[in-house]
Amino acid sequence: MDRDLVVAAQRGDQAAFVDLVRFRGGRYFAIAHRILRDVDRAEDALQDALVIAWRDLPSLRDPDRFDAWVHRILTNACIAQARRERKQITNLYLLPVDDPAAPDELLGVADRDLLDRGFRRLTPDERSILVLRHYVGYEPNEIAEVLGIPAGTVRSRLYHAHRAMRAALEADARSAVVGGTIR
Amino acid sequence: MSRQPDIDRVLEIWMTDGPTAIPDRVVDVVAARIGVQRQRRAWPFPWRTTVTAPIKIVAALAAVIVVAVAGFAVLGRPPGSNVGGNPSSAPSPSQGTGSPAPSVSAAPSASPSASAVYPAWFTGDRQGAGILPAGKQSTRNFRPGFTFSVPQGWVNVGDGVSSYDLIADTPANAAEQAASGGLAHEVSAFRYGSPYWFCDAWENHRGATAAEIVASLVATDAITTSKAVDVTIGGLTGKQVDIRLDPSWTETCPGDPASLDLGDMRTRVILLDTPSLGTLIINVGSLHSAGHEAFLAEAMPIIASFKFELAQ
Repeated sequence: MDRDLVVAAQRGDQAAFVDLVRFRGGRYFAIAHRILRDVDRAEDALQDALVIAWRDLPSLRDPDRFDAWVHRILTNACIAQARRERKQITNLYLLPVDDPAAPDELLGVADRDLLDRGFRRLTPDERSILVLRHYVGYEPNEIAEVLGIPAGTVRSRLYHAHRAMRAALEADARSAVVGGTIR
Repeated sequence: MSRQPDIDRVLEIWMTDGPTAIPDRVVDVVAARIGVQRQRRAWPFPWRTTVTAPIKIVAALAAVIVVAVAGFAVLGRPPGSNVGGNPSSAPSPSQGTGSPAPSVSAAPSASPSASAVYPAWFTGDRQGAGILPAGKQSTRNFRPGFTFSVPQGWVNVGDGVSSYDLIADTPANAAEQAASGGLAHEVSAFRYGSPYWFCDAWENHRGATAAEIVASLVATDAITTSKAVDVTIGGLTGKQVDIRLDPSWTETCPGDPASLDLGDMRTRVILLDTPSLGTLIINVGSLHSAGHEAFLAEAMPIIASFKFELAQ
C-alpha cells in the first residue's frame, strides 16, 4: 500500500522510497516530459525532484498528500530546468517531436506539430499550469495550492496559455516556421 | 480540425501523447543518490537526527559506504540497465540504526549556488547562498520570497521553495557542529501545513491559521509556551510565542537516540498568515538554553527587516 511506503520512507527506509518511485514514477515522468518536451531534461528534472522529495519527506505531514506534494516539487524542478536550459534557436522545425502521434479523430500530425510549437513558446510557468490542468486534471484552485501561487494568477496564466495555444492552432502551418525562443 | 477548437479537449488529447513509464536508469540513479542524501527532519531541530551515539555513527557510516559502492556500480552501468533488482530486498539503513545516513554530497538541490562560500567548520547541507555580505539580501527560491538586512557574519545554508535557513558564523555553532554535528542556534523560515517543534509523536498540531496553530501548541501537554502576542512582519500578520519542552515532561521522543536531551531546547516561533500560501513559520531556535536570549537579540532585528513579496 502506497501510504505505508510513504510512512516507511519518511522514517528513512530507502527501499520503500525506491518502491514508491517505481510505482508512481511513471506518472511523474510523464508530467515532467509534458512540461519540458524533452526526455533527457525530463529525466534530469525528475531525478532532482525525487532526491529533494526524499530529503524533505519527513516534513510531509499527511502521507496521503504525497502525490500532490511531489507534484509541487517536480513542477518547480521542471520550471528551474526549463529556465536553465533556455536557449535561442533559429528554426523551430529543427526541434524533434518526441513521440509519434497516435491517430485519432480530432488531432492530426500537423495539428500536433502546431501545438508542440505553440507550447514551446509558452513560459515554463504557463506550460506547467497547462500540464497540471489538462494532463493531471487539477482544478485551478488545486494548481494554485500545488504551485503556491494565488488562484487568480493561475486562472490568468491559464487564460493566456489557452489563448496562445488556440492561436498556434489557428496559424497557418507554413507561416509557423519562424525563429523563436525556447523557454 | 475545426478552426474554432475546443482547446480544453484538444489539449487533453494532445497530452496523452508521450511516455508514461519511468526509465529504469532514472530509478537507479535516484536509488544511488538517496543513498548519500541525508533526510531532513522537520525544523526546528534537524540536529536531533545528527546527534547520535558513537556506535550508531559507525553503523551509519558503514551504510553510507555500502550504498556509495552500490551507487557507483549502478552509475557505471549502461543507461537503461536495471541493476537494482528488487529494491525491497536491499537492507534499509533505517533498520538497525534508526539513524539517517550523514550526507556525503551536496548535490541535490533545486539551485544551490556553485560559488557559495561557507564557513570552514560548517559540514551540513550546503543548499543556500553561503556567507552573506552585510546589507540587503533576498531569497532566491523560497516562496513567498522576501528581502531582509543582515549584519556581517550570517550564512544562508538553505534556500528551497518551502524552507529558508540562516545561521550565524559563531564559535557556538562551530563548537556544536564539531561536538554533535548539529547547530547551537538557527533561524528558519518555512511553510508546512502542520509543523512540529519537539517531537512528532507528542504533538498534535492542527490548524490552518497562525492563531489555530498557536492554540494547538498551547494545548500540547509536552510543551510550555509563553503568552502569544500579535505580530506584523514584512506586511504579514500573525502570532509570536516562545516554546520549550515542559520541564515535567520526561518521555523520550520515539526514534531519537536515548542520549538526546530535548529539555534544554528553546525556540521562538513566529507564525504569519499569508494570502495564498498558508501559514509561514519562522523559528528562532537554540539547542541549549545558554545563549538563546543573546541569539534572539541578534536574530530578531533581521527577522524584523523581512519584507515579503506577495504580489504574485
